[in-house]
Amino acid sequence: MNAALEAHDITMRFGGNIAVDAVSLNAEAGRVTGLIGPNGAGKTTLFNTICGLLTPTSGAVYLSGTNVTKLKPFKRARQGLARTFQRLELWSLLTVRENVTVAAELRARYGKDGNDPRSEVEAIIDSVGLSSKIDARVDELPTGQARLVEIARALATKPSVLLLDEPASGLDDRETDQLGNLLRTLASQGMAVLLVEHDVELVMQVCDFIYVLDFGRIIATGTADQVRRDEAVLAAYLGSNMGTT
Amino acid sequence: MHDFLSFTITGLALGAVYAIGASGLVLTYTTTGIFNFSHGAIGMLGAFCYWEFRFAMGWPAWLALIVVLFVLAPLFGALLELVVFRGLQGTSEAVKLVVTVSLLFSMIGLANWIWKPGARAATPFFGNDHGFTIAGVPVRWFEATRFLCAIAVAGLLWYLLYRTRIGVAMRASVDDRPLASLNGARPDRSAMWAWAIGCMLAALAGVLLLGDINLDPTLFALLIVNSYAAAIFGRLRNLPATFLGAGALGLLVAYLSGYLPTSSVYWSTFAPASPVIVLFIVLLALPSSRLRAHGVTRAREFFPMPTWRGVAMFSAIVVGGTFLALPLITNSNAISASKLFAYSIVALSLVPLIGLAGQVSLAQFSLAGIGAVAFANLGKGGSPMGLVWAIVFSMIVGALIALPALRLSGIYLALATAAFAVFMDEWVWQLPPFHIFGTHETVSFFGTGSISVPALNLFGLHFDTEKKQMVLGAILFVLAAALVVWIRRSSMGRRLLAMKDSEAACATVGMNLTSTKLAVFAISAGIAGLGGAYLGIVNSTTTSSDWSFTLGLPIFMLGVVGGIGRVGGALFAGVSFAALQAMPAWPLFQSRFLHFDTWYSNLSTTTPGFMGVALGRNPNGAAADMREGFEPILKSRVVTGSVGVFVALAWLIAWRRHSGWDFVIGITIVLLAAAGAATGILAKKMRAATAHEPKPIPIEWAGIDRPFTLADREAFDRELGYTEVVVTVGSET
Repeated sequence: MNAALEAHDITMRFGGNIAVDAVSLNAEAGRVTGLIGPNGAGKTTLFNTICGLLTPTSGAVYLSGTNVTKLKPFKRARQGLARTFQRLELWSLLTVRENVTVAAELRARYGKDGNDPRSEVEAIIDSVGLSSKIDARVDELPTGQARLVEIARALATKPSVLLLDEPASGLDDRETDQLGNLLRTLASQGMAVLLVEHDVELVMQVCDFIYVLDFGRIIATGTADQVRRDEAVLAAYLGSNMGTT
Repeated sequence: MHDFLSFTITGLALGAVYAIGASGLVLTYTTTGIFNFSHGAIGMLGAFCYWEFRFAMGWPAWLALIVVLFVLAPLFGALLELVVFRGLQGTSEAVKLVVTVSLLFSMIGLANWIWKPGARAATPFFGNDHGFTIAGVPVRWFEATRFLCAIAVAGLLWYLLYRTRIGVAMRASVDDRPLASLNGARPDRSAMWAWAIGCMLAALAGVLLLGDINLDPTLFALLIVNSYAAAIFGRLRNLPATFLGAGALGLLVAYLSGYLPTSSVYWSTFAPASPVIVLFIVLLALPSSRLRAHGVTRAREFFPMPTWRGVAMFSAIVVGGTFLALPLITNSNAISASKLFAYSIVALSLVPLIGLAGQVSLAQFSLAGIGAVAFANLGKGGSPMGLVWAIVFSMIVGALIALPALRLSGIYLALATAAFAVFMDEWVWQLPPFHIFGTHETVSFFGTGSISVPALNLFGLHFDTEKKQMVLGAILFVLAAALVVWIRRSSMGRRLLAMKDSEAACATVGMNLTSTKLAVFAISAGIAGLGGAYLGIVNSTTTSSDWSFTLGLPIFMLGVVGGIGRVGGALFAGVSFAALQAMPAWPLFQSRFLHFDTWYSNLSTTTPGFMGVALGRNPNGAAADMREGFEPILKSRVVTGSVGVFVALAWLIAWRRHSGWDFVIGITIVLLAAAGAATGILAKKMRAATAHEPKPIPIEWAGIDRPFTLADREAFDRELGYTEVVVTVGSET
């Protein structure tokens, strides 16, 4: 069976710099897949090539077995790929409800599933714990809650693959725990979640499989325990802290 | 061969002037990040100053040159940097655009004010009568001087940017202004140098153009605008490519002027328009701007969701006010009022486009012209189908303009739309009548001077008098306003606002940006076309000058000043522009007391520009401030009732005296007094309500101005994200 998302041999060059070097990874349905690495490792660049904001120098991206490498970002989104951003890309002129409604309405239009998008919006916002802020303008929210709005907006497109770029950044401990639970719930519903995160504790707790990226290359793969014990990872990225978490 | 060589020399000399103009533009853009739309106007002012010193005052050429190029132009540039451009750091592209377009407009107005229109003899400052020959082709020294000046400018700019401390500081400032500051550079000083040198180069280009064309402010300012195409060759950053582009452009214009048959109107008007066509093509050929996730910052502007109740009230006031005004005003004032609605409808077209979608267009007045031409040609006998065709044709052309918008953004899009508008002015509007696809149907533009536009005949209701047309204008405006509000409230409105904030995020939730942009450009063009058709009806005959690029700029500026995201902002633009146009005819301004007549006719042409410069930084617009000021009136029943009574009284007095002015002055006084009274009453009520409440002490003063409580501690922990800890600490204490 094909993985929900396959990035095959992706290379991304900017002039003479290689940001991503022949990276292959899979994100399978029903699992939370982690992608970790130090700053500048190429994680966000890889995300951008997967969702189509960047065209890779070489390599291919498959969604449920279909090659989407030449598709524009909006067409990939319509094939079930959603994402959040490391630097917030919320629509600051709109409220929380409107941010999610725009995505839900678009989904209803291209998905033609007959559902009233507005009826789903409140449930989605509730699922990320923002019911009390539903009519607040998003530029008035603290960073942590704004990240949750981005997740809600991505969920409104009913994705089969969800790319999350540092979603726990700015969240407090309680909110991070809630996020972890939400990710596990989404995976249990059959979604493929690809998580980029600096909060190693969260990654180790929720991820079924982890890729470690350094200088644009995959240096280790495996479960949380395997990655935690990997010497290359310990040396290149986390050092001794990894073993104690 | 002789002709070819002759055209080549002319082209290279012209290209040299373009290169000098464009290099100043590139210098200021690369060092400050501001594309100076008024660059051409600065060159024009330089040329006029030189003319004043050299020909009006009789100074020697060398002295006039030194004073203009090395004293006035750099000082003007430094002053602009200090007063205008320094405050634009960190503002959006649209605000920068409005301010520089406003400067362009106010400088043209200022030149018209200082130097009365008329023919001015001006010869090049050097070597007009002497020269030499190349392969038998005579070359005058001033043509060679242009070329040598361009080479000297190229060399000096290279030396400045790469071999001097100030040049390195200039380049560092644009890369990262704060970082440059931390490393000891002084970005403000670098920017001041850049503007001083940029203005000097603009003035040099202006002076070098003397002798080629009549010294007319608009013509001169727009001729230097041709050099923008050269700057785009270098993508506004690359000086060598800019110089190459300028040379190619100069040669193209010279060859087209020389070889195209002058007997054909189609071709004789094509050569002057060729630089803007090149600009448009080069912009289309630019690599598509990549979708970038750049992180959305807090929005400075806020346009609240309009309610249908508010729209109903607004419509009632506009239409009701129009009917109330009918018995009070003269026919000539009814024409001014009708134009007010026409301009407001055109300004309204900017609300979905710029206010909601964030797409800049400087060609709305040209689209309005298409509406007028379509109605004049297809609305035979005033048929309402003419209005439908006006909207449809404008929408089709609007969608075509959107083609570059699909690839470009920001300043490039503004330039593309400006190029389209100038292309319409220079070429399309000048075409003679022609038949469509071999049929006998004739389409007339303005090649024969003017075309007549019939009055609308709506199913037997003939809008053939000034006052009927005024009512028609009010109704069309409120209908168009309702359409804009509907868009804002619909899913499309949300999508447009989302696109304005982050196109990258839109794409990643499945939004097709291409169709969304096409739709908003077409809708906006349709509204502009409606406004144009109506303005044509009001004018009854129309010429190309009614739809010129420069006439459309104040509508754009006033729309932004009024608040580009609101219907009220569009009405503000329409009222201001119509008032400024009608101002010289008002009784007060016809008085020769203190030369009011001259002062105010000049002021009417420069005011929109100065308003744009002063208020372009207020993204919410004047309409929001006015609404805030007058809203208290509706919150106090006593004041609302009193206003109603006083307005009725003012109307009765005006009606008895047959004076619309009494009514206007009366309600202005009543509304201002009522706003003041209502604000006072509300403030008094609020003071009374809060008089017995303890004054809240900010949490930062806890432990200093009052005891530190557990609630404070919990609040601190909550803010810091330690909610779990709070419970533990709280239970222990």
